[in-house]
Amino acid sequence: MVTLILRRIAMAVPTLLGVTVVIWLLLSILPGDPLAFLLPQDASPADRARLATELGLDQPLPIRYVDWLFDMMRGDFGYSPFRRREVADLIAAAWKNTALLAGFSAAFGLTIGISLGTLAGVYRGSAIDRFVTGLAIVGLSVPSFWVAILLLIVFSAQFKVLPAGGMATLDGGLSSFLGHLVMPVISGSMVSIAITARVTRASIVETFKAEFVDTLRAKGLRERQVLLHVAKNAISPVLTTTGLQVGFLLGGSVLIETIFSWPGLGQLVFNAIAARDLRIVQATTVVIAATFVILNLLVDLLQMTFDPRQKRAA
Amino acid sequence: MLMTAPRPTVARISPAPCTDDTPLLAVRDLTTQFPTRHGWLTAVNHISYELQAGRVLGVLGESGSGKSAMLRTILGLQPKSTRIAGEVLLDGRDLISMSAAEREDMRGASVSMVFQDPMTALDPVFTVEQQLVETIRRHSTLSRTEAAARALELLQTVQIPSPERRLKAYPFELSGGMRQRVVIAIALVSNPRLLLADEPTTALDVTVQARVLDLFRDLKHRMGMGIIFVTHDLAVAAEIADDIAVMYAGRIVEFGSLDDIVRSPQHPYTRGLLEANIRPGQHERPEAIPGSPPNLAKLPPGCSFAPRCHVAEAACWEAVPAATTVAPGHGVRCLKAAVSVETVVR
Repeated sequence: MVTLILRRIAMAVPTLLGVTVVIWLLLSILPGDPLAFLLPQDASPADRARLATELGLDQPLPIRYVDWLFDMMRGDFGYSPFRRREVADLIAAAWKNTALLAGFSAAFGLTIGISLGTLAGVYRGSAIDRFVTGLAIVGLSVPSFWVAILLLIVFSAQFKVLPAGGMATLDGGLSSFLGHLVMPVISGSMVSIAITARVTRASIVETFKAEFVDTLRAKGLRERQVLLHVAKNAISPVLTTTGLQVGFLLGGSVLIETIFSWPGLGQLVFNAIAARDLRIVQATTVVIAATFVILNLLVDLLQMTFDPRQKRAA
Repeated sequence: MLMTAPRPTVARISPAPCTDDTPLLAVRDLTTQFPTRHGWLTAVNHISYELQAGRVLGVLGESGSGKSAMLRTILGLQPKSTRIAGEVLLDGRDLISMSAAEREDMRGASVSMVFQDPMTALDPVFTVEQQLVETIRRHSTLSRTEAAARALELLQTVQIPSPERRLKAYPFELSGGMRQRVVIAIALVSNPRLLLADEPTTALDVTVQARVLDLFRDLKHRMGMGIIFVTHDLAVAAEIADDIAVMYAGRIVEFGSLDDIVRSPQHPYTRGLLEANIRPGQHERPEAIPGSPPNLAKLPPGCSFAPRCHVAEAACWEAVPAATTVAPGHGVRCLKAAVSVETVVR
């Protein structure tokens, strides 16, 4: 089992390297001159050259890539001349805030999504099933920013019961802390709820058709025990989408964080793009990609514990 | 026992002389219908028979003849939308009119079932031991350790080699024959009075098939349970059955002892099944029955085999033939058969 885990981790390394190459190339070949943003319009060519040397922009592409990669591996994501801070510090602070929001959104979204999906799957064809399926379609087709704005209008502007934006720490009291979370969590986890509910329902329905369910009933198990067997068999696709959902949430939603001025990764990257602060964009994208790779690794390992057949396949 | 729609001509056929008066299982006028887009599909059509403890009834028929539907109805495993009529009396208790909770308690306790495909009949993500232990504990008050000991004992009963190791295995780590033995072990957990076997050897290799059949014979002798053994293979039925019920389009068209059926088949369909088998020393090609079974949602008014029958006459198309007794314990639903036997008797 330990060698298996180590092998999976080793397999993740080339994936991550590939991701850094793509991110770096994409952002390097983008049109637009970062020096133009940093220098006054009347800067002399000598000034330009000096700044380029200072930032390492005069080196050939491969050298700049390798330098960047090794710096990152040391935890040095570079210095943001716009924000006048270390990129690593900026990302660490933003990541903590995004992780907080993502944690609550994932817990909320997955609990509701899996519960609704299971209900719909067990009582397939019933009114509950039709309700959940309809709700999932609405959740998938309504844009999350629209729901966010609607929530803002109703709960902040109209009834003034929830703060319109920003984040509160626990120091300011539990109700303020949770109050700031409610609307971002609801609007941000809508898609997760919809996708999770649909996948869970489909997997449960499919598993109930399996022949071993007849055996379980034929040996006299109560329906509740049968459902436990079905759930353990149905969990694999749910875990896979769960990994992706959590990945998206941890990547920080640009829309949600911008609307609710949540100081997370999404907002950081949004502002960085606007300012053409390439170092932050690059570093944030790498962090998000790494999050995805690690989450998928975790999902694979979790699935092995649920399905013994995958242990052998790996 | 074989029954028909026109009551006065009902023929009562008991399988061979028996010592006990009340049969282990009495199926009376059992009908199972599934809703389809084209109306009700009659999978099991007014079936009646009796089974004594310690005997094996072989149910013979093609796929779609209603064999599996009949077994599932006995155990109550049919979908909710199914329409059921008739009685299934196990030791005098009706399984059809039972409450859902009573049925759950009955399943796996007094009646067990072995399914066709051992590759899909076991839960793939639980070990053999877990699947046995949960069944044992469901039907007894044994502790976890006691149940584990009983699980080991059951694997020994079904003759699985190195059973201690197999207990910890997952189904995918076992061969098909071994999985079927596990399925049988699960069915034996509480020494059921009645064992329903739905083509339990069909999915297995021929050599494994023979050994699983040996196991069934052994169980019948040692445990004295009644077994309904459904198969489409006459050779398999001949290996294990005491009595044979031949099913066609949801009805039992012929019923008798194994000897009756093999030596003097009366129904043209039974004869067709016999001819479709290769006998030792046979040189000519086996004769297949022409045509295919009728649509169960649109049964013809007369004998359902008439469209495929080479001796059918006008009367055969008019009404479903009543069951007639051709010899003690040997009944058939065929106008032509009755005539021919009478001729023989005369």
